[in-house]
Amino acid sequence: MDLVRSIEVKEGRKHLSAKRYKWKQKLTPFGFMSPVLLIFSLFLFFPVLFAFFMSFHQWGMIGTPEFVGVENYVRLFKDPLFWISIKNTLIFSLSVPLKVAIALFIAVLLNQKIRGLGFYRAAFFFPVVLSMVVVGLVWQWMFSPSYGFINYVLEKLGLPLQNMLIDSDQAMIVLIIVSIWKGLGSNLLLFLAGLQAIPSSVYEAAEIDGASSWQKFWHITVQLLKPTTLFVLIITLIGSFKIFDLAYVITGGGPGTSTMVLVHYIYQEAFQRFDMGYASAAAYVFFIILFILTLVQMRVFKSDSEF
Amino acid sequence: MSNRSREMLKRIPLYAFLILGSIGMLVPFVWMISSALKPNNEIFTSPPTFLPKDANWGNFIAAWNSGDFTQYFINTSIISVLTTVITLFICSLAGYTFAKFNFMGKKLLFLLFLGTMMIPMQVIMIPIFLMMSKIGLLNSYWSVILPLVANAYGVFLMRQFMSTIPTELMEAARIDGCSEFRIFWQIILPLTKPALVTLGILTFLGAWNEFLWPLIMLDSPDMMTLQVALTQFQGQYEVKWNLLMAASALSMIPIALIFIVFQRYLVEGIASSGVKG
Repeated sequence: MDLVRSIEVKEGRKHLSAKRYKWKQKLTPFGFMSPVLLIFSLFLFFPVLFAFFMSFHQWGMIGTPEFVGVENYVRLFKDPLFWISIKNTLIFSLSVPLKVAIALFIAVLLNQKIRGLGFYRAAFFFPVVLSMVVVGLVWQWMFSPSYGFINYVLEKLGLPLQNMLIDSDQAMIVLIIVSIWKGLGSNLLLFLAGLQAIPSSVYEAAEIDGASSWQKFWHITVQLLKPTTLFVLIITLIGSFKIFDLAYVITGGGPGTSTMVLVHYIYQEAFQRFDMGYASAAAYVFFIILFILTLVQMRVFKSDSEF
Repeated sequence: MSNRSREMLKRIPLYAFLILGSIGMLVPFVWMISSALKPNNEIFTSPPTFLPKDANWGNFIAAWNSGDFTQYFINTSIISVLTTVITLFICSLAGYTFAKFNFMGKKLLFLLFLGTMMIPMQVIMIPIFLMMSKIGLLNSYWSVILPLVANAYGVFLMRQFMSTIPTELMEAARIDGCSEFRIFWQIILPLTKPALVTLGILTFLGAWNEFLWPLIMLDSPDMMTLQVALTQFQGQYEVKWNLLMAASALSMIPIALIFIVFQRYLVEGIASSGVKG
């Protein structure tokens, strides 16, 4: 009798602990997720919605916000400086294909049996880890009209000296050159990863068929690298739309407004003129442009993986 | 001529290009150091000299003392270290949960998290600035750290890595009566070291180099980070370029060390960001 009872009690306990165990299993994931969920809600989900809400208000640092409907957007589209900043951002982004082509070219050169690969890779990659501010400062000094390195070289070569940073037609070219130097390394690595995924048997088969190096490059490398190339193109494009630090440090948007880019415009409206609602409207236009680019990217990738 | 030496001759242009290209990439860096070592009168000679006549190592000390650089260095270090530690903790916790647990709304939540990668910080910086000013956190380290740790890429990276760890490990520990948090902390986390190192380095570099967040959030001089301080230095009436270059070089010492020690992880981190698509 005693034995039976004690067995029953034990069974009951087991049952209870199994139930508790099940509950614990259900609650654990929520417990684990709660800190990250809190942070994501506070610093991503909420602000992205709130910025949209703000964009329909007149919202200064002091005073009460006032609902103004689409007024901010209307004002934005009428502001010539906004259009100038869009134009400048687009001009800067025109360099994207060039950036991608240079990265691809160097990646192909590096993807062979060569000596000193580690050195070349480190040299091309080093600028990637530097801060935009340091890069901006160094290059501003490189392009200094009277004391900079660029003019030092031009003078040695007997070429006419440059004054690009204070020329409103050429300042953007400086930003493009610097961003090529800064970003080359990361694109290069993406291409190298893509190149290493191409099986060498494909090249060997082409060699047996008597293909020249150029034919191999064009018909094998370029074709098989298409997904990587598209990916690199689009992330470089998205990155170039976000340009701010470099322009802020090297040219400060000048001379005049010749290098005033979209993010700089948003920054200025929000944190120098404290027109928060209006700046939010500009930020949302910026967001929509990037959103469309990202959708294109996902589209492209879906069709690729199907293939 | 033998086949071999003909092959080598063909390669001369390739090597010439790669070596010249690599050196070309390093020129701005050399120019920075060379300028940092020039005395005041030599920095403003036209045409410039490529290397200083004698190296003025004292410039580094002068640059450091030209502002409160010890304070800026401490500020930047605190922000970067805390950002890295918190990011690693919450991203691995979330990555682990996404990889190893089933719960209601998991798929939707994961999609939402991934979706946040599309949100540019320029859109959320205004509301976050207002939030921080409302709760009185403006001008504090937290105002820069907290927005930086909401890192969907980190969650994704950790999830990918955690899903390769066999689930049996967790089950065995559960049977032994190990608590859920201890399973995560003592069994799973040590196994994810490579992913933690990669994410940790990328996060630290990003935080160290961050410019826009501290520019917006920190406006008292004793809270400034190195990046913001350098631009202040640049904005002074007459820029002492030798000192500015010296300060820039000093500001990147931790970055250069990380680059030298962890290059392999960095390369993998960047290459894998491409795979994520």
